[in-house]
Amino acid sequence: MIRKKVVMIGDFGVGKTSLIRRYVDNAFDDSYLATIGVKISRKALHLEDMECELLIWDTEGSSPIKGLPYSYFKGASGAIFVCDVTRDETVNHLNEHINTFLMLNNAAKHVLAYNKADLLPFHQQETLRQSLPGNAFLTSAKEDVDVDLLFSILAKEMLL
Amino acid sequence: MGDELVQLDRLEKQVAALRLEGEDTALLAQKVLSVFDDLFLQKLQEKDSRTLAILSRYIAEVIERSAQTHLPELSHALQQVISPAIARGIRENKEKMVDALYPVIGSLVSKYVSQSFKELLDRINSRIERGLTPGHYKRKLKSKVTGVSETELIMEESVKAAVSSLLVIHKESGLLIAEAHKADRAIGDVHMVASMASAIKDFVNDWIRKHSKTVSEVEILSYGNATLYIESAGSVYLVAFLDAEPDAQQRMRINRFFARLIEKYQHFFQQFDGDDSVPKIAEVSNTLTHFLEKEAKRFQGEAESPLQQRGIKILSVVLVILMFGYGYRFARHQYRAYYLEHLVAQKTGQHIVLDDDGDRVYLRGNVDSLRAHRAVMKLIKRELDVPVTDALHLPLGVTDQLFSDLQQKLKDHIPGDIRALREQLQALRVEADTQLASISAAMVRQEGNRRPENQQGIDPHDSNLSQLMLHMARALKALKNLEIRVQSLEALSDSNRAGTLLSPTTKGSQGKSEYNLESIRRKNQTIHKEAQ
Repeated sequence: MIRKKVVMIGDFGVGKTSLIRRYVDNAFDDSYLATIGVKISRKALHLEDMECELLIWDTEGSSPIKGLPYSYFKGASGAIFVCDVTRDETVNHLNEHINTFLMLNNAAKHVLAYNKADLLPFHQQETLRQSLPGNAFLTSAKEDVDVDLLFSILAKEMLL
Repeated sequence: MGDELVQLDRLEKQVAALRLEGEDTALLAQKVLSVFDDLFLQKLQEKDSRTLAILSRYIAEVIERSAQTHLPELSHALQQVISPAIARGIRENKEKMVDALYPVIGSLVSKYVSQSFKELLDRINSRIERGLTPGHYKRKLKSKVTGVSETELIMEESVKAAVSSLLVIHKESGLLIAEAHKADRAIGDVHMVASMASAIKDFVNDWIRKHSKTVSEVEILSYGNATLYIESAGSVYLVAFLDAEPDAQQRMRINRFFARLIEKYQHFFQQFDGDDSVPKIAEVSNTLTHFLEKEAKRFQGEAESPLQQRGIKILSVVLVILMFGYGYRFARHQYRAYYLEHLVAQKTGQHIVLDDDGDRVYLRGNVDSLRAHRAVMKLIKRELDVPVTDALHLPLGVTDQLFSDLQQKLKDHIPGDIRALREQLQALRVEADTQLASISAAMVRQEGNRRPENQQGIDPHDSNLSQLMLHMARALKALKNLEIRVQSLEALSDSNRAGTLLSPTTKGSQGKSEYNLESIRRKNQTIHKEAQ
């Protein structure tokens, strides 16, 4: 079995923990509990007859001002950068998060999750979806929109 | 009249409207609801007995039904109440709370403490049972040198940490590379544990570096009885799970093992990509397992290095040989003493005690008479070829009798003996004078017959003269011996008269040691006085 470390990175309250909960447990909870430090989850999956397991590090919310928990990023094979589509500043911080992460792990793969899509009107969702780059996904942990896809694409990028 | 009819009509309409409102339950509820809270509060504040009765009747039912249908919500709601309620209950009704909780918590604590003591006792017992081990003697020596009691040392050893698991973790990713566990101590979800250990270590290291501005690594993580000893290298780190904090020696052993592991597998560790199906993983795991087993044996006090084992075996054989030799010698001496005691008893009827230390035999005890003493000594000297120390005691009566006999003997015989000896002495003197005269005459004759060329004096080859000189020498020697004997007898006689017999160092006329009767007599008197 091949195991890979995946890091979830993003500002406070963008839904990193909710995405993991949806992906690993297929569950969602509206209440917000801030992650302190890091929480680790794992998910086994099959990729073209290959047994693999993702060890997903759910880091606490960060921002360029507060600083990023660099030591948690080290050794990650992949990262999911998460923002809240209803909060512009979280979207704006994405590039900075990505640059910081890639400085530490230049060979690592990454995808972007524009989360909380359920809070946007349908037509705005469609417009936004069409404007996103190839490695970005409009997701909703609450309504289970493209969460599996997000992780699967990253896993394929890392392992295949 | 007309006005009255109008009013009547209005009233009728109002009544009809009221009837309609009364039938419209929703409207009625809406109206009642707006004032219900106030009315209900008023009822509660007034402590209306009927209201309280209704509430107390249904509240338990409501909670029970909620527990069945909305358990998460109910537990969430109660969670916020129960903790403060318990805190208040303990504060205000401490004794009641203690009484309520004691049967549960008390037995739990008791069970935990009993279990812990049992484990500790088992460890101590197993150490005591393995008493004849090098560790046992080492502990005894340490106890003597340091002054710390052996029990305390055993206790200290008993709480030493046993390594239950070993994990080799990739430093950057926190991915588990290899693992080994004791048979009954496997860790569930070990990959998660490895990642979390890595995260905690990273967090602590970050914090230390941020606040103390020093570069250092966390080494020990403890939680309850579990301790994680972490030793870091370049690309990996080793986590040892222990029951207690490891001592310096144990750390050193773990570090040495880890250094050997790094030396052997450093390239593999550096290139590790999360794939645990490569054969080297199993190889590393086997190495970890081997070390774990070795540690477990060491913890049980059984393991020693091959060199130590060989040394201990050789030492044991030498000790056994020495002990056997000493035992044989001791047994031989004991048997000899036993045999001689019985032989003496059989032959002389005297019951004496023999102490045989191999180089010398000590005789102790009492003998009945001087004769018995002589017989015992004769028998012992015949049987033994080692020096004998005579510490036998004679009875007081015997020595007194012996003393008076000797005194009487001296009184009766010595004067006669002295007279006879004096006569002999006189005869010998006469004979010596005769011989001297003969020799003088012979010498005169020889002087007359001597040739002038012979200037050397008396011819020693003259046979007559030689015989005469020989007789003369014998007579002088006999005379001398006789004089000595006469003098000693005279001295003995004088001592007898004065009441002091032979001194302890005096020897008899024949040069043999005689019994120091005076000292024997005094010693026996002292012994008898002490006995009384």
